[in-house]
Amino acid sequence: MKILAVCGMGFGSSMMLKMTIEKILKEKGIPADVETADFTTATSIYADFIFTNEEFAKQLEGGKVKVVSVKNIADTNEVRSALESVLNT
Amino acid sequence: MFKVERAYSTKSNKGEKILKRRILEKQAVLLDVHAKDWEDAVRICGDLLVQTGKVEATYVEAMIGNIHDLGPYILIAPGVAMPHARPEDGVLQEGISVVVLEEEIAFDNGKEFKVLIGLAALNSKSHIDILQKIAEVISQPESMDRLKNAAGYEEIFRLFNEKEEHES
Repeated sequence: MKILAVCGMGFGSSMMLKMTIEKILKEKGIPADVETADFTTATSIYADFIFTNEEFAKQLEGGKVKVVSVKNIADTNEVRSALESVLNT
Repeated sequence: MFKVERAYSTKSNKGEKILKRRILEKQAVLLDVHAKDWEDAVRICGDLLVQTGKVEATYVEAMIGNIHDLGPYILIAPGVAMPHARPEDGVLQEGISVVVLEEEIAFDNGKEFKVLIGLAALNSKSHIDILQKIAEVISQPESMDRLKNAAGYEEIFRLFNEKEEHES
């Protein structure tokens, strides 16, 4: 499984989001790769899920990859339930 | 209106040797800031990074330009924005600045923010500890409250310089 964390430049908030996602994957024992990407290259990278903020989620939705929007990228509870909901579908 | 000059009158670190690396300098915190719009707020936040010797003035323009180009994607939590640009846009030293606004300001899409955390990173790896610290602060409702309603800069200073308890 590959998860892409996306932000404007690919190293600020996406990096923070990646750290939150990895914390939860570790806690749940789920093996997955988490990578960061900037908004402009995000669509050309293969991934199972894209995690990003609401602003970019709106623009990235509609493609093949399931897009998950996160309000607080450091909130483990929010990211945990978002991750749980996509993994169950 | 808040006098921005107060922070500007402090001595800049530019050209001086920094013995101990600190994420947040006292001079890089401004509270009760009045800004006329989001661009003004981001500029005040970026200017603090310039004043504390973290970035060149070009970096501040890049911060603003990015928001014009990409939209207000810099909201990292409800009410908290993290304006930044790329290391090559003029970062001299790693660090952050913190601006707490007098009242919420909205981006063009209506999303409001009260706190700005200006980020200066040297490369895509070295700033992980700074991001972890910011994440720590915004991930807890209590520390978010302390950030948004800080009575003095000491409060902000303490938040970002408290002992780190996380492990990753």
